[in-house]
Amino acid sequence: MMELWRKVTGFLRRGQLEAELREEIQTHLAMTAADIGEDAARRRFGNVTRILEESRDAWGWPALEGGARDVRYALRMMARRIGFSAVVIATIAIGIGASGSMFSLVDAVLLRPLPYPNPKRLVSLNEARLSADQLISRVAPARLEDWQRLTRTMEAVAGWDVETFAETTGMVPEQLHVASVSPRFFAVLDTSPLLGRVFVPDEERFGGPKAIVISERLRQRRFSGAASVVGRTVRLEGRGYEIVGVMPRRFEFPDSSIDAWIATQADADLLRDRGASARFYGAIGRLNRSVTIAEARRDLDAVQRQLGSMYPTTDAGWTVRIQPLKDALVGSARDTLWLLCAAVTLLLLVACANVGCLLSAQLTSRRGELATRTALGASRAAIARQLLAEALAYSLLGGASGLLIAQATVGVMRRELAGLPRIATATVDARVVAFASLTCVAAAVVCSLAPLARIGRPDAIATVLRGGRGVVVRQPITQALVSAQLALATVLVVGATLFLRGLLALQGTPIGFEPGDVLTLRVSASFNEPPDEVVQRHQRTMDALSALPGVRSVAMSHGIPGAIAATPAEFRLADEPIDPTGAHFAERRLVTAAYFHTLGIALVSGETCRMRTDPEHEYDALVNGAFLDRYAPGRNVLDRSIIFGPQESRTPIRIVGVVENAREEGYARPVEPIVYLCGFLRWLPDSDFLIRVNGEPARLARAAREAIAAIEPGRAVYAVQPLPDILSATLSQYRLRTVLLGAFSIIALTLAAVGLWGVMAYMVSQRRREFAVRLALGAQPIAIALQIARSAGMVTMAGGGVGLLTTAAALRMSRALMAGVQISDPTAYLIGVAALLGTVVVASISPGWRAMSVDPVEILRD
Amino acid sequence: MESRTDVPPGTLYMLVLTTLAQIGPLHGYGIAQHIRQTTRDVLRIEEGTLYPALQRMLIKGWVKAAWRHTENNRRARYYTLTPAGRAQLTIEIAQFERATAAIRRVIQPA
Repeated sequence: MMELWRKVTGFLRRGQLEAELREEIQTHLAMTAADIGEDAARRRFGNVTRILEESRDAWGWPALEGGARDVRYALRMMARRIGFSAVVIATIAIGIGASGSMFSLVDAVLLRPLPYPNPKRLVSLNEARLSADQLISRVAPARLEDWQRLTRTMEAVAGWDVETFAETTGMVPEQLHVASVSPRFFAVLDTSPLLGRVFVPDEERFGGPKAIVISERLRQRRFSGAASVVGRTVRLEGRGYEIVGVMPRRFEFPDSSIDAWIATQADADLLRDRGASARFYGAIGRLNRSVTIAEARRDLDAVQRQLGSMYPTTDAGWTVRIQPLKDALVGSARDTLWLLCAAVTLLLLVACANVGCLLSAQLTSRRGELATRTALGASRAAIARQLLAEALAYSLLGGASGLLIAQATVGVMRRELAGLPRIATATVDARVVAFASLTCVAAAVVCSLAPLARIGRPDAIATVLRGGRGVVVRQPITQALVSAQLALATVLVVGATLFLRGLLALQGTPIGFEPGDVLTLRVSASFNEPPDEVVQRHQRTMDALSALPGVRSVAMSHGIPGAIAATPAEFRLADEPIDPTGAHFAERRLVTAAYFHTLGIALVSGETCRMRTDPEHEYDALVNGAFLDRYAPGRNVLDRSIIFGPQESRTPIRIVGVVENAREEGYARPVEPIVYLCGFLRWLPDSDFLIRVNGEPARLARAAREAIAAIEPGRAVYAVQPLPDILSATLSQYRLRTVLLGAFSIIALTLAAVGLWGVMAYMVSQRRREFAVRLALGAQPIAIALQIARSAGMVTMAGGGVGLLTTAAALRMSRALMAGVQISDPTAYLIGVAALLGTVVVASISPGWRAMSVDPVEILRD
Repeated sequence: MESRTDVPPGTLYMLVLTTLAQIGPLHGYGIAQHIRQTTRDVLRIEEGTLYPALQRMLIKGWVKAAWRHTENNRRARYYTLTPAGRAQLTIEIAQFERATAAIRRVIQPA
């Protein structure tokens, strides 16, 4: 250890050490001369320089100096072939930039643990219907408390529900996202507040003091980061809440938009209600130490079976769905990211192969230079070291540029993909840097390996002696690398085409209503508002909006049409016996009567519903075509009563009409049976307003805000968006996959074309003499060009064939990632083949032209 | 003419370390002279071997070097034994004696 240290410090002051050594040896010589005379001393002493060199070598500097020399030489070689070097560096930079940014994204969204203590023990909980396994439901507070009481594998379970409130302490009402949470919520996430405290039991019971815990973000925004914020009061919908604590910035649960948390303060009725309408809690839990998910699942299954026997009407036939909380939060982004991750890995491979074949091809053109150096005494190891230094220099420069690209790309992605969970934390961090450096070094080694196999062979010298003539060098490695690139590029092109066609097909799907001229908005409201007042307020707002110029009709719905997946609910037709083979399920959509007119959903039979203000009166409902087809084919449903849930018969519902199918859940989801319920919005104060206007809906936004502010000064208007924008956003995951895959495949194809061009150009330059002879003997130039094209075609066909087969196999294996995509779409494969052929043509035009235009006289005289 | 022998392989470090241990700080010329005189001209150390060896011993930390003036008022680099060098000397001597004993058993069979 010390020895190495002395060597390194010695290297740093090697000039001084050398001078000392020289002086020492001179002294020795002088002393000897004094003894035996000058001449004899010199004879005895031999070569002073050699002694000096050997003494110096003891320090082991030559390796270091040689390394420095190799790097200097490498940089000089790169500067001399500036164009070639630029292509190599750019290729590495693209490969590392793309993969670096993609892996940063994957790291932030998928790999990084949740920012809570012992995150592996956090789970997400849902209720699930046993008979219909697609039916996943949120959790009723009453049932959550039962789970908490009966479980033996969970430390604690908790629930939350997000509401939006207008906060009215300031000049303008501000809309806040507030999570209404059950007891134990903060304990499950095991996070202490930054300031103050979380709720005490008294604040969690019905009728207790109103307390609120705010986010650090809200403290900064609303209270300018004041430290004295604890103890102050905020007003939500006119009700005062005392701020008792501030949560740190990393605490973003259930999502990053949450401004504050209040306790649900469930009343006795809610704590008894086990039916469908009470299932509104999102639920989480913390496993006991060293309990596995499987053990917890068995435990909760048993708990729910026990509840099923206690409450057969509401709890039998239900089970608990449990999954790691991180998986639940990441959701569908997981598939997208892994898919893109795989794609970018292919791209990185293409880039590496391309660099390898470029370096390998250029090395062949430097055979003369290398042979000369060998002839002059450079050892094979020295040449290998020099090539490795060149490869490393390329990789380092390319890697550094790649990191800059990744840095920029991650910034853009954070802005553009803000919808992905946890993406805000994405940065190009140390691990990504390590990954990129590893890739660089691997690329360098790969790139040096191929050329190393050929240098230092005995024929190298012969090549120089013969003036480089008459040797046609086969390049099996280079050609294989090009074929590999083309194969990988084919996989990407076909995959991207499949996604693009899938996306186009989705966008072209008739959605069943006309979203074009509709503006949507919401008005903040709390569930504390009495239902009768809700109805009056809704009506007042709709009247005010209808009075605006350019407005054709105004409606309301709970949830934006075409964007929200509803939970199907169990029902039966009142005059039919209960079907023992399986329950009927339909989505419930809660709307006002003007909904169908506003969205342009056509009435098929019967009449449109009327709004009822009297809660005792039966409600009108419309059903869609899918409902009719599945549950009453060829029969009449008009005027029949429908009953939802096993015990919720408190409100009679009558079917008054049938409407066309509309894709209420978005382009990508098939139409399910739907029951539209008119008038239920009295229990849903924060429902969506839908406004059909003449012309561009976005232009009405300002007028609509002002109209509502005039009659509801204490409420915040938010989420003002044209409906087409929202629908388009539902396809964002598809679009993201398509756009990025498309970009990757274009880059890959370009790289492959560069690789192919390099190989072809090299081949032509090697065979110029041969072509010249053939032309001189009367060969047709076009025949020579065709021969070039054929060589290019061979390489391409090998690569493309492998690529197409790989694609087919890979797609079959990753069927899950390709949701919504027709994987055996022949058009996509044809496009892949066309892209390949295009690449061949583009890549062989210039080499072919150069082959045809060889001037025999000039070459043969040479 | 008396016969001269090169330093037996592997004993150079031992000879240099022993010299420094017996005489104290000494320059390269002095080391070479001392070994030659002590062995009555039998062992001669080539300068081309001595100086690289001294450099290696510096790196290994067995000796230290410092510039001083000789009695003839010449600047010369004097080498001094370090504790690590003293320890190494014991090892070298032990190794040498083991090797010599072994060789003796080969050339003088009982």
